[in-house]
Amino acid sequence: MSWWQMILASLLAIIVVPFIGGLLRGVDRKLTARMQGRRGPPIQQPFYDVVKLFAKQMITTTRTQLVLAYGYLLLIVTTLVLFALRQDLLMVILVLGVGSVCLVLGSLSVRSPYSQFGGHRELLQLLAYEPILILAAAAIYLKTGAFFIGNILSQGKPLLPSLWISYLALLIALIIVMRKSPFDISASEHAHQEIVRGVFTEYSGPYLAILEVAHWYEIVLLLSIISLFWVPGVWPGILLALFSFFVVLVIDNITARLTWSWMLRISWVGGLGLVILNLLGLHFFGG
Amino acid sequence: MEGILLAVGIIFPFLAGFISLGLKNSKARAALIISTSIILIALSIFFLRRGAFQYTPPAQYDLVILVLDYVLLAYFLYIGITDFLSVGINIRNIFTISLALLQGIFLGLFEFFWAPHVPLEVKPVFLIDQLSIIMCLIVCIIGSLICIYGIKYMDDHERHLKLEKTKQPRFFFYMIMFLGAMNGLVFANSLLWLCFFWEVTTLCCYALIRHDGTPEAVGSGIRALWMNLVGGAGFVFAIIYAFNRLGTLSLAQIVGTHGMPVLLLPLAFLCLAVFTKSAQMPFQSWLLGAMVAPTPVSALLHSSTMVNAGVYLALRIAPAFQGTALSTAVAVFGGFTFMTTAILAISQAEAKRVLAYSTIGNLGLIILCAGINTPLAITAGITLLVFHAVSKGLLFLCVGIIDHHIWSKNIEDMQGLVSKLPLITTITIAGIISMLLAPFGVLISKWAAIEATGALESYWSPLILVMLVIGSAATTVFWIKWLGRFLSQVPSAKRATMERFSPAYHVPVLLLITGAVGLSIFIAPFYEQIIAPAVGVAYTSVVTTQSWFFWGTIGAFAVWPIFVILALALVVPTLVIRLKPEQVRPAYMCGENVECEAAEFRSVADKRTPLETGGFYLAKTLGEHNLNRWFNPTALIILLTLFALVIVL
Repeated sequence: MSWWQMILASLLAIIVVPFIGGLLRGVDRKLTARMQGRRGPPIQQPFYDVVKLFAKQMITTTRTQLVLAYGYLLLIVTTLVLFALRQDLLMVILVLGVGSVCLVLGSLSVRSPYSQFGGHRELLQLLAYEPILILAAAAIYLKTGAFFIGNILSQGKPLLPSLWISYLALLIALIIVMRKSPFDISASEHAHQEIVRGVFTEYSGPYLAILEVAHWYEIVLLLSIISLFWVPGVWPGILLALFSFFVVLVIDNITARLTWSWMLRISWVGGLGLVILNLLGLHFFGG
Repeated sequence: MEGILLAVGIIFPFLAGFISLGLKNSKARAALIISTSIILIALSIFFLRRGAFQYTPPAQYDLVILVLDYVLLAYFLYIGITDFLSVGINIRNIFTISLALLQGIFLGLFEFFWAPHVPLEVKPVFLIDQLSIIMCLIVCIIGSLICIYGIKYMDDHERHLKLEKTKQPRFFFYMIMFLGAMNGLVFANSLLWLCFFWEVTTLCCYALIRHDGTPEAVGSGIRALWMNLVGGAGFVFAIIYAFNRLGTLSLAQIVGTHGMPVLLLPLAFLCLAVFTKSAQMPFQSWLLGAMVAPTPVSALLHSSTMVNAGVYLALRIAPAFQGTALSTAVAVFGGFTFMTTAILAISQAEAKRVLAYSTIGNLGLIILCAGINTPLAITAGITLLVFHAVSKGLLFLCVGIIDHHIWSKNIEDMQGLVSKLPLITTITIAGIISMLLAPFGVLISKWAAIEATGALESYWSPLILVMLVIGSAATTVFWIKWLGRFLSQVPSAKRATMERFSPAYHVPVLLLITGAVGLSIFIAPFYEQIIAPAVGVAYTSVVTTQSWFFWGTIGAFAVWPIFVILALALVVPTLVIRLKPEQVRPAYMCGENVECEAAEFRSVADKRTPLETGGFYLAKTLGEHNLNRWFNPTALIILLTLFALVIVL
C-alpha cells in the first residue's frame, strides 16, 4: 500500500465503521423484536440513542472512569485501523485485549457493587474468548503461512472448507464479545436484573455513548475477522459475517443466561477443543 | 586486563560482602553498599562495551574452587544435621542430608577417581559472550538498585520488628555476595566452576530466606535448600555423564555438538537443575515459601538473581538439544507451568504470592521458548528475560514500599490506594501495565512466543499453543483484578495529595520504571544493540526492526504507533479531564446512598451500613488446594516423561 492508500484505508475504518456497527445494532434490535413478536424500533434507533446521549449533561462518579472510556474507544478504533492497514492479525487481537482491559478497569474504578460485579465478569469473559481468538489466528496461520492480514487476503482459496471447525469456535467468541445470551453475564441486556447494567452501571450521558460507539467498532472488528474465512472476493466474506451475526441473534433469543463457570467450560472445552481439533487436523492431514 | 575485570565482577562483591559483615556502623555500611553498587553498575557497562572474550585463570584457582565446593557441601550437610537435631526427623532434613551426601560422594568419586587429573582443568574457564553480558547487566544494575533500596527498607523493617541487635551486616553480606556469585555463574564456561557458583547462589538464597529466623522462615529456607539440592544433584550427574561421553566439561563445546543423541541424558539432568532453580512446577513451593523473607530478598531472587540463573542455563544449552524430543518435552513442561501458575494466581489475595506465581509463569514461558528452540522463540525468550527482570524487580520494590505504608501485603487492603498514596500507586500501576499490556516489552515477547509456537512444525504445537494462550489470558485476569483494587474509589472531585517523597525508596523505583517504559519504547535500537548479538551467538537472528517495528519472519508488531495511541488514550485524558463538584454523583445504590462521598448506604430502619466491595478470587474453583491436587502430579508426570523419552531414544 502506498501512503495515501494507507491514509484512505484508515479514514474509512474510522469514519465508515461506526455507521455499519450502528446499523447492525439497529438490525439486531429489529430482528430480536420480531423474533419475540414485537414491532421493534426503527433500524436507525441506535443512532438516535447515541446522539441523544451525547447531548446529555456530563455526570460521573470518578475521573478515572472517564479516562478509561476514552482508552476503550481509542484502542478499539486502533484495532480497526490496524486491520484496515492489513497488519499482523495476532497484534490486532492483542491490542483488542488492551481495549477490553480499559473497559474492565473503568468499571472497577468505582466502588459500586454492580459495576464491580460487571467488571469482574467482563474479565472472565475476556478469559473465555481471548484464547479462542488467538488460536483461531494460529489456525489461519497454519493454513495460509501468514499472520499478516494482507497475506491472508491474497490467498487464492477460501479458508472455510478447511477451517470450518475453527469458525464454529469463533462463533462462541462472537456471542461473548457481543454480550449475547447465553453469555451476557457482564452486562445483562435488561437493566432490571441482579447486576443492573454490570460494567455500564456507572456510565451515563456522553460517556455511555462513547462506550456504545466503541462497541459498534468492536462488533465490526470481530465480523471482519470472521469474513477472512472467505476470501477472495468481497461479498462471500461479508455474507459469511452477516450470516454469523444472524446466527448469534437466533442463539441469543433461544437461550437463557448461564453462569460464568459454564461460560468458561463451554468456551474452553468446546471452543478451544474445536480449534485444537482443527489444528491437529491441519498438522496431520495438511487441511 | 581480563583477569582484573572478572575479579572485580566476581571476587570484589565477595570481599565487599565480608567487609559488610564486619561493619557495625549503619552509615558506613550504607556507604559501602552504595559504592559497591556504583562500581558494579559501571563494570557491567564496561563489559557491554568490551564485548565477548575468554579467560582462564592460573591452575591453582581450580584447586581453590574444588576445595570450596566441598566446604559448601559440608555446610549444607551441617544445616541438615542441625535441623534434624532441633526438630527431629522430617522430610526436609532427610532430603537435605541425603542430597548433600549424594552430591558430595559423586562429585568426590568423579573428581578424585574418575577424572584423569586432580583438579580437572577446563579451557577456557570463563567465556563471556553477549548472553552472559546481558545477564551481567541485569544482575549488576537491577541487583544493585535492590541493594540500595534495601538500606532503608531493612532499617524500617527492623524498627517494625523492634529488633534490639541489628542483623543487617549478615543480610548485606549475603545480598552482595549473591551478585558476585551470579556474575561468576553467567561468565563460567567450565561446568565445575558453574556448578560451584550454582551452589553458592543456593547458599545465599537459603541464608536470605531464613534471615528473620521465625520458624516459618527457617522452614522455607530449608525447603528452598533441599529443592535446589535436587537440581544440584542433577548438575553433578550432568557433569559426570558429559565428561564420560565427550571427555570435556567446557559448556561451549557441549553446546556446540548439536543434536548428538548420546548427550541428551546429561542435558536432561541440566534441565532438571534449571527447573528446580527456576521453581517450575512441581518445585514451585520453594519460591512461594521464600515470600516470608524481607521484600528486597524477594526482589533479588525474582528479578536479577537465583531464578534467572535457571532460565539463563536453559537458553544457554538450548542449541544443544535443538530438534530433539527433549526440546519438545521442555517446551511442554514450560508451557504447563506457564498456564497453571497463571490460573493459580487468580485465587491469591497476597500481593507477593501473586508476584511469585507471575514470576514462575514467566520463567515457564522462557523455558517454553528455549524448548520451541527456533531463532524467533529464542529472541522472545531473551527479550522476556530482560523485560521481566526490570518489571518484576520494580513491582517487588513497590509492594515493599506499600507494605511499609499500610503494613499489609493483602491486595484487598490496597483498595482505593490510588487516592491515598498516589505516587507509589501510580508507579505500581505503570509497572503492572508494563507486565501485561501491548506494546510493552513483556507482551512483545509473548507475541513473538505465540508466533514462534504457531510456526513450529510439530504435532505438539497445538497443545503448547493452547497452554500459552490460556496462560496469557489468565495472566490478564489476575493483574487486572489487582489494578482494579488500586483504582476502586469513592466518588470525589478532590485531587489526591502526594505522599512524602523518600529518595532511598523512590529513586530505585523511578529508575526501574523509566527503564521498563524506556526499553519498551526504544525496543528497536535496544534489540539491535543488545538482544540480536545474544541471539546471534548460536542462532541466525530473524527479527528486524525496520521503521522501528518489531518484524518477525511471519508477522510484525507496530510498536511505536501503539505507544502513541496508548499515550493519547490514557495519558492525555488524565491530564486534560477536570471535574467540577456538581458533575460528581454517588455510585448507584438503588437510591439508598447516605451521601456522595461516604461509602455507606441505608439499610433496615434507615441504619447507615458501610458499603463493602472486593475482588473475585474464585477460591473454591481455582484455589491452590483444589487445583494443586491435579497440577503437581501432572507436572511430575511430564518431568518423568521427559526423562523417559531421553533414556528410550
